[in-house]
Amino acid sequence: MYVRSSPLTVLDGADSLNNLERCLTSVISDMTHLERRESLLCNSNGRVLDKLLLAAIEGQMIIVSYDGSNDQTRQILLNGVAWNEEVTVTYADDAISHLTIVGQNIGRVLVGLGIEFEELNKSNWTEFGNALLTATSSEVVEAIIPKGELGHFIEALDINGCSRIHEDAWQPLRMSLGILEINDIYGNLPSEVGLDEYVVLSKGCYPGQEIHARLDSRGTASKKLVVLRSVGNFECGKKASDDIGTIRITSCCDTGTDSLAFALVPIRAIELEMISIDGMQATLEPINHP
Amino acid sequence: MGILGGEGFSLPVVAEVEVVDAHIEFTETAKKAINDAMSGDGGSHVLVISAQSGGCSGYLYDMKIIEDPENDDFQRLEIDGISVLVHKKDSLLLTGITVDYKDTLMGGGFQILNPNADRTCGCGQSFG
Repeated sequence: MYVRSSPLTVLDGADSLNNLERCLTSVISDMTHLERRESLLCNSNGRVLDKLLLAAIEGQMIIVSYDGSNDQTRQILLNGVAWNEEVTVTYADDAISHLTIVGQNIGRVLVGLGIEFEELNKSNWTEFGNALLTATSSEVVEAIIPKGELGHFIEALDINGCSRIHEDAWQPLRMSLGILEINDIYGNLPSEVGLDEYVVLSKGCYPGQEIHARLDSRGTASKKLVVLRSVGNFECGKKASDDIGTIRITSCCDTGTDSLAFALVPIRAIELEMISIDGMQATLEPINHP
Repeated sequence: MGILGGEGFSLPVVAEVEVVDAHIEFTETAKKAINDAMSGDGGSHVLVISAQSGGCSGYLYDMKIIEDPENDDFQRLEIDGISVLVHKKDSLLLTGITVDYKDTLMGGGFQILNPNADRTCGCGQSFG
């Protein structure tokens, strides 16, 4: 399991859901108790600023932000509250922890804690004591848990065969599973990074809506996020490829057997199986998101 | 106890905003339209112009005629007998705007021209 550095925020108040929904790319104001949804916060140019994991708790909303590097999302939420809206914003970083559990035998681990994996799904949070769990896929479970109980929870998972890993082991693991992080998505269009499912054009206006609508009706994304593999070493940033021009590597790691990278490549390149980057040969494949 | 019942939550956080003296212009057609909308309630009611998050460009304009809240959170402008209130938190976003009114079948109604906005959306209701 990996304890994330996600900023956690709690929204409360009669107008909190409407206030939040105005900023997001999808509908959330109809969420019911313990319902889980994900949505995007974009700028007026339609570029992703943050991806949010939401948990509705009896009229309040727990917001798990992917962007741990700055406070932009919270500032957007705070600055957008109208004078006559009842919205309370509370920071929960010192109260709640977010962790991700991954593996092929998650069910075996969780059953040791008394949790039936079959009861978890992607649409709802399941209560386990004071913690909330949800299954993103058959191999990925997200949990949010009171910080005071994190130690016991980690210990219980460890006893049942799920070890805690840190950043250096998390990167190759999450990349092999197609789990994106903020550096992969920030500043890109949702369609470029496989996040189209979180854009609901029928929702009405939201920051970036005009761009997304125009793309939907008139064009396609010019870039796509793909997986690169090579025996050489990747470096993040813009790179030159003799075959396809400039690409941008957003994440990279050494898996022990080869190097792995997520890269934004021109759309015409996604049919290729191999490209050359700075003299290094790399295979190219689509990202299989969990 | 539940996920939200423990310790460590911050106190409610508020946005720090810069407050400036808001200057707002109204065209003659806008003044007439507002007077018509107030229908004689000008003595007890005010026009509140505000900004909130949302819209294609980041913020949405909002205008409401409400009973005078009579509190210090607002800046008050008197424009040809119309009391116009702007909340202090919106003053920086809204200063310099001109409120116009277009009486057309398509795209008519109140329109706000904002020389300080970096961008506006096609319908004119959003700015950023």
